[in-house]
Amino acid sequence: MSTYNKASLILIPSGTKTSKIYSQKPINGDGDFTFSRSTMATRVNESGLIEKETQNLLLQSNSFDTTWNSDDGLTGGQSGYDGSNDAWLFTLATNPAIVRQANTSGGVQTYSVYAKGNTNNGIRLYAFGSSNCYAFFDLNAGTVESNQNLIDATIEDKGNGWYRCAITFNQTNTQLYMYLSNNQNLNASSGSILIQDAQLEQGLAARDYIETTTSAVYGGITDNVPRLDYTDATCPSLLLEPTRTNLMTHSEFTNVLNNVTLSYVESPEGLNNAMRLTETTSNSQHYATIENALVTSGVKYSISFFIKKGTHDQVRLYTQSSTINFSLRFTFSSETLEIFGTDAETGSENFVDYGNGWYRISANGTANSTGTVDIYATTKSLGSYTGSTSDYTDYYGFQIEEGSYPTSYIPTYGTSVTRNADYVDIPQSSYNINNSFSIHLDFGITKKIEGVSTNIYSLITNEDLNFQLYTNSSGNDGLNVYLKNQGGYVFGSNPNDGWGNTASKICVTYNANTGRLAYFINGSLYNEQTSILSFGTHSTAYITPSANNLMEIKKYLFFESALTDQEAINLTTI
Amino acid sequence: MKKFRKYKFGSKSSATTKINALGIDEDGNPTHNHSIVKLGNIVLENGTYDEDGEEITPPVLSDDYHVDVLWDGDPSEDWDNQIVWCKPLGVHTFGSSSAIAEWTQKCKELHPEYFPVPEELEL
Repeated sequence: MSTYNKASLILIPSGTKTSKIYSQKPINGDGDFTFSRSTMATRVNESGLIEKETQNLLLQSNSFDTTWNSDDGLTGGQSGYDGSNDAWLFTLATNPAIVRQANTSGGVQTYSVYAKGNTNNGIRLYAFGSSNCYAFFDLNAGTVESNQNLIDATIEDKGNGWYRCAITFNQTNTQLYMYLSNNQNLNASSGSILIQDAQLEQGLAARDYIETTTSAVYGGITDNVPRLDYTDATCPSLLLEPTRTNLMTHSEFTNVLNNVTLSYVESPEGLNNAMRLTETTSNSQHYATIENALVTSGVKYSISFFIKKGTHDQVRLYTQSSTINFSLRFTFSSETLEIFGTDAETGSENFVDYGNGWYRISANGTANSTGTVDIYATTKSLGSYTGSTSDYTDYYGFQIEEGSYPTSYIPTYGTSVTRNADYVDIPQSSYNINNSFSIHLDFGITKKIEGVSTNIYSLITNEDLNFQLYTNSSGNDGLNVYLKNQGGYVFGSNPNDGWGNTASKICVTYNANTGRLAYFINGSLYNEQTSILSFGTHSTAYITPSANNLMEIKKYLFFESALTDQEAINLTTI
Repeated sequence: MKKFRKYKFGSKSSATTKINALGIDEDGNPTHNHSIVKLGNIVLENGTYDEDGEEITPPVLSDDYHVDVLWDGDPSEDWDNQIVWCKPLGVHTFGSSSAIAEWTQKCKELHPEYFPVPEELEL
């Protein structure tokens, strides 16, 4: 009989849905974990790409005769870009011809619609609000014509005369409009076009269309969706992180350019939403200012960003020295990262290869004053020199978060954003703890705040038994196992090695016949003790990163029996 | 449904008193499901700096202590006296799109001045 067959509960994270992580055993669903995180988040998916929440913030996104307002002709049932008969004929009845919807979304966002010329060949997308942003599109030539107050405007050929037209802007909206226009940058005085599938979403790129009816729809890694993360791995881990705030109000956008031009290229998301900073030919500094984060004097922050080599092999990024005196220099060819500045924490610098030439760079800095701090992203350095329009560097995903290590990317589009902690609850029906038992946890990378001891795993019965794993309070590494029974500690381990920047596997076994409690880590018996336990009625078990920890769970097994030492060693051998 | 609101208090201690009244256990951990971010004395006006990074004028900080709450359900009416509304950009939010949408809509109802209406439709 294999060790796995003995387990009453096996969780190897591979299948999830909103608020649920499926266990491999039992197969009747009793062992499925419940999951919560009351905010969106990001992960690295099986394609190695960063995956965010998706959304369509419009209502009735393809029912233009409902919720939308128009005095013009809107006739459904037309042949669409996707082979459906869901497109709409938009025909002028009053001049100008408009279909519009009230909207209050704010920040960097992209408004898109599929359109095809008919007796007219133009559409104008207009986002009214604090800036009033628009572009005219020529549906005959497939081109963007004149535009105003936009970050970007794109038109993508979808075949058979259909185009996806999109405008990207940074404002607080009041109304979103579509105008029937001609192809000479004027609203049309007659005629018609075909329209289909409108979408409004946060960010710099139009992603896959999501149909909506009476409310906005959110998908991807939205609230309460567990994250199976594939960072640096072909097998996923369940990613559990503490609450963190990306204090940068804009993580992917800036319009403060200093002798550089800005264009958009493929990011670690696989979308064209990374910044390409290209030098001008002026003899001066060449950088973009990324705004901004509110920081507090004396507090340590983790500063992170994604960077891809352009034409310079060595590139340096700075923070505003009046608030955090800090800079990082990365040499791509040798993958060498150097840290500078009176507020920088030497030794905290780190980088992760995200593939396709992208690196995520991070390091810690402590604010020397309270206030806002900008990031200066350079093409090479802040030195003055004569630039070249063929020299550039790519950036994406700027993040400043309070803490001593970076967590997963938190995108921001005009406000700082808090991602809440992940929490996993293990159903009572999945374990029966009133006799011998064994628990096995296979952890990937884990992080904690130095000097803080916090609980990461609990299995608690009604006041009789309290089994907990704690991070060690001193240093970066170390894990403590505590077992309290009937109010008193009956087992406590010293902190062990292997917990921290490297993966670790642990197993705790209890034999009710002998009272032997044994703790194994990474293939060795670490500690043991004898004590007869009183169990009582089990009540709850949960796994949480609490306020301070980050962890990846690759495997969780519960046994209603005591494994042999050899079985525990086999399970925990790295 | 989660709901997002912003609050300000006269001091950190009065904010802490209000937060603790929502429920904490013997270790000081919350016993409720609301999410709370203490923003503190936020910057009202950025400092100014010369080209060498030397401070010309310091940032102006709020005298009030600011707190954001993502309520697990409807906001507590006990907190209504401390509620603040503001333009929805350049501030802190929680990463819950539905909660942000509800907060923004409520803000527009109460403070339409933060949502300028276009003066004239351009032809």
